[in-house]
Amino acid sequence: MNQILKHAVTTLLRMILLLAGVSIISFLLVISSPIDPIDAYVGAESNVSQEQRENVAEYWGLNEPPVKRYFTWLSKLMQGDMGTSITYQKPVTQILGSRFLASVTLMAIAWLLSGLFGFLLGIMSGAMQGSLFDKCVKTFCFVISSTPTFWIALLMLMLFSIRLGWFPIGLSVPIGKLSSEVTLLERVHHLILPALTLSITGISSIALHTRQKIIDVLKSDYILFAKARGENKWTLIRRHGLRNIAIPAITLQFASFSELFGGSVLAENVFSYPGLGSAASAAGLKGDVPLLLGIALCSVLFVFVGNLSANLLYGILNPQIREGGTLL
Amino acid sequence: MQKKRIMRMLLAILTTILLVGCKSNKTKIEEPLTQPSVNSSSKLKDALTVSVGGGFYEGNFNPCTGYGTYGYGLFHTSLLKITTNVKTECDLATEYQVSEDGLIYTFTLREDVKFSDGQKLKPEDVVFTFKTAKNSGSSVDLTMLENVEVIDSNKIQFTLNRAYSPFTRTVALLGIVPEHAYNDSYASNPIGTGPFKVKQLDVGQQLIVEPNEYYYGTKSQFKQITFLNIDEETALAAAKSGQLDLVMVNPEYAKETVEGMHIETIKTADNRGFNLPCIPETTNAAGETVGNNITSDPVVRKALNIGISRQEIIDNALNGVGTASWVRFEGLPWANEEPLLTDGRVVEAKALLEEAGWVDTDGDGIREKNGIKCEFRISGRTDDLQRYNLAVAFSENAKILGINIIAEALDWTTCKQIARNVPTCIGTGDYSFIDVYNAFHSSFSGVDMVNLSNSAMYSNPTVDGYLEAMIAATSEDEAIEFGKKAQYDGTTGANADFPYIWLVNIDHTYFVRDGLNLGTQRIHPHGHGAPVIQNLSEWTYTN
Repeated sequence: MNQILKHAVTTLLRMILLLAGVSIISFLLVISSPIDPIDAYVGAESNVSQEQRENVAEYWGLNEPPVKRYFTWLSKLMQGDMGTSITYQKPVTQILGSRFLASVTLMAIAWLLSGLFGFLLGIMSGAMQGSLFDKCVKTFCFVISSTPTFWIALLMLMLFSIRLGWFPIGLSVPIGKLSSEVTLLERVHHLILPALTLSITGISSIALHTRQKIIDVLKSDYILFAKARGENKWTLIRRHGLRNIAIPAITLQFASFSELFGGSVLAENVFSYPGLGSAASAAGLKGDVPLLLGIALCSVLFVFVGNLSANLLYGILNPQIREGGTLL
Repeated sequence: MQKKRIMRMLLAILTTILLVGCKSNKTKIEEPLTQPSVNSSSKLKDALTVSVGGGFYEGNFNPCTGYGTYGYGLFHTSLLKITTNVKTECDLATEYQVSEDGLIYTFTLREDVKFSDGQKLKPEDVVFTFKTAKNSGSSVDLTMLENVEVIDSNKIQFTLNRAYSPFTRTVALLGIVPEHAYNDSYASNPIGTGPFKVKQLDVGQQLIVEPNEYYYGTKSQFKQITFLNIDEETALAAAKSGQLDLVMVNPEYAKETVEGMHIETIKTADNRGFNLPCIPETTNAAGETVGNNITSDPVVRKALNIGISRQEIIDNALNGVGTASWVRFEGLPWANEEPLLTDGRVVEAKALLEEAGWVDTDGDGIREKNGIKCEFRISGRTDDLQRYNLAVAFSENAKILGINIIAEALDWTTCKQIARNVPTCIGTGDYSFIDVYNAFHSSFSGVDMVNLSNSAMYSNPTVDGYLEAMIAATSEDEAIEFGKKAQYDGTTGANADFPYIWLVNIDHTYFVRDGLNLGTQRIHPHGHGAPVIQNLSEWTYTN
């Protein structure tokens, strides 16, 4: 019991340290970026007088020294106030709240799809090592893993929305329709393409790792023994292989949260999908410190939870690792 | 083994072909698509779907924090409005007077106007709007406003802290908000006196507007207009599949054709040029280098202005889409075309340079004078390819004169920081003639300033005199006259001293559905996209 408590405490401490570190680095990056938030707000070449620009800076606290700005933000954060976004002129918490669900839905679907397909493709191509199917899968994975997400997104859009007209050209709801009239089916229809795009990029690492693991497993002694008993290949894999193969796959799958989040920024922008990703790029382009920090913290939590789950699951799935009495 | 290798190669080739095949779809989309689209407005005449860039999807429709300051707000109207010839006339006001000293502006309010919620517009709303805007720490610049109050029950009296003739423009570009309906959520669902109201806003995705039934002006023929937030390439592709009625396009796509649509090119005051620092190099208090040893020679500035070919630069940098300009305010009422300039006068420009002692003695194609090479750097901001292209084309064009201009792409903050030493490509053009003052007045010419106001560090006492008279004027006509004199009064002025070199007024291009009429468009200000909706309620569609 004590052991578990200790772990929980260290984990929590680690998370807090991570959050602090990321917020400081993000803050430094934003303020040293060549984007002047005042410019972004009033328009770079507007005829707004210097006096008014100073009023703007004062109103948004942009003229304070950086250290002071950071600590102001931090002390407000402690009170649950994440500041006001200069881009949307609304409290950051409100923006995050309204977009979180959209992003999580998108990422969850993409995550499940990529895990499932990656795992299946990996098993099949590993089991049929050297076959034409295996080569196809391998080539596909190599190509996909070296292709930028936004480009895939554009291709998908060009092919399925524009050329074939199967899917809408973006947004999460139909064009020009009142939200009261939007059906669940329409929402799903709008979600498919971005989710598919996002899942494609996650498939390759799972598939390739699983494939390699299957190949290793099939070479092992216990499989040879099982073969000798007359079991066929698929039964073998089901009875003796799956658990061993699942371990790396699941770890990878949970550890891929960071790529998932990064990919969602790009995919959401291409499909004008109203999640955290598109807000992140809007904030970046406007030098919107509070919003960007808010999103950074969100993404850190998200990735941290992913990695933590991977660690815990690893321990559950593979008792050998737990033997040292450490869960993490 | 051999067989395997061949197989592998074949596979690789196949995959590549597949991917390339997908990619080339991008260009193949040009064939018109016949698949009917549910949203195709060609069947429905009462709804439009448009894509005109950003600025609609954050839900910042609050005039007090800067919505509509460029003259194309949808939901509000102002005491004055800017006409199609960029003059001002009464809108919510029936008349106004300016005091002799230019400090007091008194507006009489129309009696018959209602907000989109049916409530009557009161003079208190105007006072509330200006007071709120002044304290909002936003892009609404009311630093000249001392006080505003209601007098005689239907008059609003503004007291300024200094005479400021462009105040009429300030008033014309600030939409009036209702005091009774102004709250935290106002910005995303504004109540106003303008032609439209928000029907629905899906943040980051689309804005749907419908006509405001209480609007006192031309009512829109359409029941619903949807603004779509999709990126430019997607928008173009969507237009090709018949889903859009109007799309802004960058000039580089202007050569494309879309079934059922035609291209419209709209003139703008969206000007591009370079500042040419008028003082020699020196070091300012911050230790930065300001001034420029080459451009501080008036002969070099003149030779560049008359020797280059603007049309050639436009052809090279902008695909030929744009209008050559010599004057900063080209197309606006306060532009003074005098003395009429022509360019491409290479021989004359060369003679001027020779006469001033700029001679190429070492045969490297670059002139020298007193051992200094006639060469300097210029910059174009990295986030706007057009500007970098202009910088490169300008530098190419100046080579024939024996002037070596080195074009660099730099981030915008750096561009601005070093602009007083390294000329940068600037864009201007809005509906307020304060721009004339900001461009040429010597109060901005200091070596320690870091902003784009008079980044040429030009100072001419005669010009200053005219500019101050312009600001102190009590009528727009008078002010504009002084503004013109500051550019050229028959003997001197900015147009004769060449503190800048203006190259082009960008044209704004749109694909428009055949049969959709955009009415009379007032010359567009700086910024491509949204200005086209300035008269949205006057658009008509005839099949």
